Amino acid sequence: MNEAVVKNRRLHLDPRTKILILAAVATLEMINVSIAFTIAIGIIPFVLYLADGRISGALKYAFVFGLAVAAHFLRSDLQVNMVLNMVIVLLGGFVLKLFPAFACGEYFLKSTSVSEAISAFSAMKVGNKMLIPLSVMFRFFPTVNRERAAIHDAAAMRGITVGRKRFWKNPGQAFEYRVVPLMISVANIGNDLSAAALSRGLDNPVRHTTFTDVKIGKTDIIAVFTITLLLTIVALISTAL
Amino acid sequence: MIEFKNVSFKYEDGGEVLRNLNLTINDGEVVLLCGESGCGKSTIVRMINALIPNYYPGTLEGKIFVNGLDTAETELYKIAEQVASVFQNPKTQFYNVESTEEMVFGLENRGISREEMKKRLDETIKKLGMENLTGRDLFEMSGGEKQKVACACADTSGTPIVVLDEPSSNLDIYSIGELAAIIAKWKEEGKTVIVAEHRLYYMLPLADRVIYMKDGVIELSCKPEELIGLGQERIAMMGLRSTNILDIPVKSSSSQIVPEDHKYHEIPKTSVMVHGIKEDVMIIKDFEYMYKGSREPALYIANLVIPENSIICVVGDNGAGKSTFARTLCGLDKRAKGVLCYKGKELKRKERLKRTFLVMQDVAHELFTDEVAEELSSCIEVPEDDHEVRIAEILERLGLSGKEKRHPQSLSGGEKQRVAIGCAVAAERDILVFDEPTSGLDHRRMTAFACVIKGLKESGKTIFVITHDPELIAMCCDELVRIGDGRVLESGKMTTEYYKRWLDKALSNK
Repeated sequence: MNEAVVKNRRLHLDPRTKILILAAVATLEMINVSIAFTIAIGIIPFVLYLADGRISGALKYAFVFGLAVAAHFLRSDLQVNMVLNMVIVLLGGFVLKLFPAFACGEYFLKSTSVSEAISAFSAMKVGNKMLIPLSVMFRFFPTVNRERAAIHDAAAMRGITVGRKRFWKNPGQAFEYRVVPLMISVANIGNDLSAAALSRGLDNPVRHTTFTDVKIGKTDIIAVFTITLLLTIVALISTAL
Repeated sequence: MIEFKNVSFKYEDGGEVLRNLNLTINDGEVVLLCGESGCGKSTIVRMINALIPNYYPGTLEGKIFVNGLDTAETELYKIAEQVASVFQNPKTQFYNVESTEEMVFGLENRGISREEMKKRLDETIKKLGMENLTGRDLFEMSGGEKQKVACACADTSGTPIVVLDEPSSNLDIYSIGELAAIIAKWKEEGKTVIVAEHRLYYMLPLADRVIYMKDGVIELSCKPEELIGLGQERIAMMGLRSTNILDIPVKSSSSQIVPEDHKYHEIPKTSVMVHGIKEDVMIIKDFEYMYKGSREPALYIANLVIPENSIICVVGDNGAGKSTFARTLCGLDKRAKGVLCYKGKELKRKERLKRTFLVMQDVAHELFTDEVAEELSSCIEVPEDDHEVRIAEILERLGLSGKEKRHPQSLSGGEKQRVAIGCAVAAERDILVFDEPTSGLDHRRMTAFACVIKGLKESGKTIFVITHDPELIAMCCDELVRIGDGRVLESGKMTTEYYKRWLDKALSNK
C-alpha cells in the first residue's frame, strides 16, 4: 500500500534534494543576472508542481508569476498614475523575486511525508532538539488549514466574511476576530501533537529507521543536473547578449 | 506492574489536583478509571505514560513506578517502550498524514528494522481487521476510523501496557463496539489496559476493576458488578454515565403540539396534519451535496418534514453525512443545494445563514472576542439602546452572570458552549444546530446541557442536535432523524420503541 502511494506521485524526489532546490531558488533569485534568468528560476516551481500532479496549483502559480513578468516588460509603456505605477512595479518585483521560493517551500511541505522528512533531517545530522519542531511543522500545515476552514464557518455565521457588509464596517476588527481563535487552537494543537509524539518515543536517540525508502536516487541527480544546466546556460547566454 | 506511592500533583496553572494517591495495578489487569471531569483520572493516565512530570509541568510529590522504572527519573522514550497511549482527540494524536506511516511511527523512532516493522504491521492489520485502513489519508478518515488507527499504533508498538484517555468521546455507537473488541483482544493477550472514560457501559463487561475518583482522591475501587449493584440512581448522583444504554427511560414529551396563541401566529405558517392535530412544521427540500469530482451525492434529502419548536436529534454513524447535513442546514456550504421551508418562506442558503446558528463541537473556533459580554454584543447586527440589558439577561439565563468580563477562551468547555448559545440567542436566530455537544461530558454536565436546550425550546427555538449520545437522546429528544449514507433512513416522534429500534440498529451497524 505504502509503495503504491509513493508511486502515484509522478516524480519522487528525496527531501534533501528538495531542500537543495529550495535553497538554490531562494538564493539565486536574489542575484540580479538578467530577467531571463529570473524567469528561468520562476519556471522551476511550475515544473515541480506539474511533476507532483498538482495541475491546478501549477496553473495558479503560472498565472500569478506570468502577470508579474508581464508587468515587468510593460512597466515603461503603462500610462497610469504614478502611485498605481509604483504599486504595480513593487508588487511585480516582489512576486518575481520571492514567489518562486515560497512556491518551492509550499511544494516541499506538501509533497514530503512526515516520516520522509524525519529520516532526511536525521540523515542531515539535525539534532533531536531541532527534529521535533521541524517535524511538527510538517504535520502543522494541513492541520492549520482545517482549523482555518472551521473558523471561516464561524465567521460566516456572524457575517464577518470578506464578501459581507459587516466585514467592511470594521475590517481590522473582523480580521482580528479570525486570528484570535486560530492562534489559540494552533497553540493547543501544537502542544497536543508534541505530547502524542513524545509518548511514542520521538525523542529516542537511536538512529530512526524508515518504513518507506529514503534514498538519493537517479531522479534526484537528474533533477539537480538539469536545473544547474538550465540556469547556467540561461545565465551565460543572457549576459553575453 | 504500575505503582503509585503517596502521589500528589498540582498543575502549574493550578488545575486538576491529585492528593496522596496510592494505587497498584497488576500485570494483565484491565482498569476503568471513572469520575466527573476534573476528578483526576486523566492525570493518572498522563502519569502512567510519564507525560507527567516530563511534559506537563507541575509539582509532583511521591513516586510512580511503571514496570520498575521511576517515571520522573526515566527518559520519555524508555517509557514509550513500556506504555502505548490512545488519546481522546483524534485530530491531535497523529503525527503523519498517511495511516500506514502512522502505524509504524513508534517503531521508526525506536530504530526497528524494516522487516520487523513489516511483520508487526501485518500482524496488527490482521488482528484488528485494518485491511481497509492502510495507506489512507488520515485527514479524510471518520472519527471511528481514526481511533482504530490510534489503537493499531498502540498495538504495533507491542508494549505490555496501554492507556486510553476517553477514547470513545468522538465515536458512534458501532465504533465504540469495535473499540471494546480491540480492548478485549488486548486483555486476552495479557496486556495491562487502563481506560479513563465517561461512558461506562462498554467498559464494564471488560474491566477487572473500576476506580471511581472524586476531587483527586480514589473514592471507590471495586469490581464492575459492585458498581452496577449500586443502582442507576446512585450512579447518576456520583456524576457517572449510565451503565446500560439499553435500559434508559425515554422521556418523550407531548409539548410539540403548538398552542393556538403561539407567538409567531401572525406569520403565515407551514402546517400539516399529524394524527389529526395541526402542527407547525418546517420542511427540508432537495438538500443535496456533492464532493468535488464525485457523481454520487454525499447528502441527498428530497423532503423531510420536521416539527417546529422542538428538539430534533440527528443520528448516524461516523461519516454518514451528519456534519454535511448540519453545514447545509446552516447555509455554510456554497456547494450545497436545497431550501428550507420555514414560516411560509423558502429560505435559500444565504437566508439560512442569517436564521440559523451552528454551535460547533470545537466551540473555541467560534469565540472571537476577548470578553464574554462583547462576544454577545458582537453578534447583534443592529445594536439597540437596551442591548446591554438584553445581554445581561441572556447571560443570566445561561448561568453566566459574573463572567461578563472573562476571556471566553479561558472558560471551561461547558461555559464556552453556553457563550456560543448566548451568541445565537443575542443574534435572534430561531434555529440552533449543535454538533456533538455532549461528547466527553460527564453525567452532570450532560444533564445541564439538556436543561439548557429544553429552556431554549421553551423560548420558541427549534433545536437540532447531531449526536451519538443515547443518554442525551433519551433525556430530551422529541424527534429522531436517522441518517445513513447521506440519506434519511427514518424520522419520527421519539418513543421508547423507536429508541430501542435505533440502538439495536446502531449497535449492529445495520
